[in-house]
Amino acid sequence: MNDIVKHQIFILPFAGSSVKYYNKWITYFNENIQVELIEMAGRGTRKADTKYNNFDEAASDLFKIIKNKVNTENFYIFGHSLGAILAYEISLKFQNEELNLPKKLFLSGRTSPQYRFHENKESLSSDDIINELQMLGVEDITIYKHPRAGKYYMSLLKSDYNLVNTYCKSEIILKKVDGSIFYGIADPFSIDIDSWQDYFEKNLDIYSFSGSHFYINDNFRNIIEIINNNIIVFN
Amino acid sequence: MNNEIERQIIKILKSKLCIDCENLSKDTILYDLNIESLLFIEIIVSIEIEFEIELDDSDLDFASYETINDLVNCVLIHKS
Repeated sequence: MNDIVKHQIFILPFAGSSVKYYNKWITYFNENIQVELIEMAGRGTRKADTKYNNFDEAASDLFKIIKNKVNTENFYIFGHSLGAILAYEISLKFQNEELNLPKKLFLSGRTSPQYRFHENKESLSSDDIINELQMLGVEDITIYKHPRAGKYYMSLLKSDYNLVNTYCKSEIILKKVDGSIFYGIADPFSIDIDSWQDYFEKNLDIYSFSGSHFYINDNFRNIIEIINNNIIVFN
Repeated sequence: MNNEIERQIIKILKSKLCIDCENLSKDTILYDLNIESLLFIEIIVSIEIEFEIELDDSDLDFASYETINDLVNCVLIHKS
């Protein structure tokens, strides 16, 4: 790693997961980009931390963590699905506090904040949730059916559904931040993807990929290549 | 005591991962060993049996651990 950090990208987890999912991405970023995996409370290395009660608790906690880690003006945030709306709302907190803003947001697998998903899904049965995961393209659901680990992963997923359920979009929009949107063309959570245009005053580019919600599993190298190329522009 | 726990855990890892790597140590990054989630659960269950401890369901989460030393610490916490 270079002594002087030129670029930092902060990566947020998606619902039901640890940010460690993105470990395999790290080596594909340009060497002058420092990758920061930001874990949410209640999972992974932060499993001892109490889970969030609502979306704003999560956004506020992650905002503080990122704010303390930023060490360059050239920083970026990536999030998929729940991570995408977290990235957007965290950026609004930077804007509200008149701090240096991320240079660009990379948002994936989620249409704009005006659409709501997962309402009341935390009350769904485990079988219904497993069926939905399969519909969304999760290839291996064995872990959710495991007699011990299944309970843990299912509780994580339901807790994250509650975060989505308690999300109230901000009335303000991002003013001085560019955005890139990535989505799978068969993803039910990426309908009306162009509606993101209403949430950015600056430039927005949109990239489509084959696949459903978890199109990122098969396309992550392409996504990182686009991110790398975008960040080069800011050199 | 830590060294003995570390030695036993490395023995379990080598057996479950079918590897014969002499370089495993407490600082080895678990992610680098390419462990699938379900195999990791098998490893944790073996650790429970070896050390006669019962871990929480959340301890089955691979993402909770960075290094072999984290597994050692987990055993230490549950044995004390």
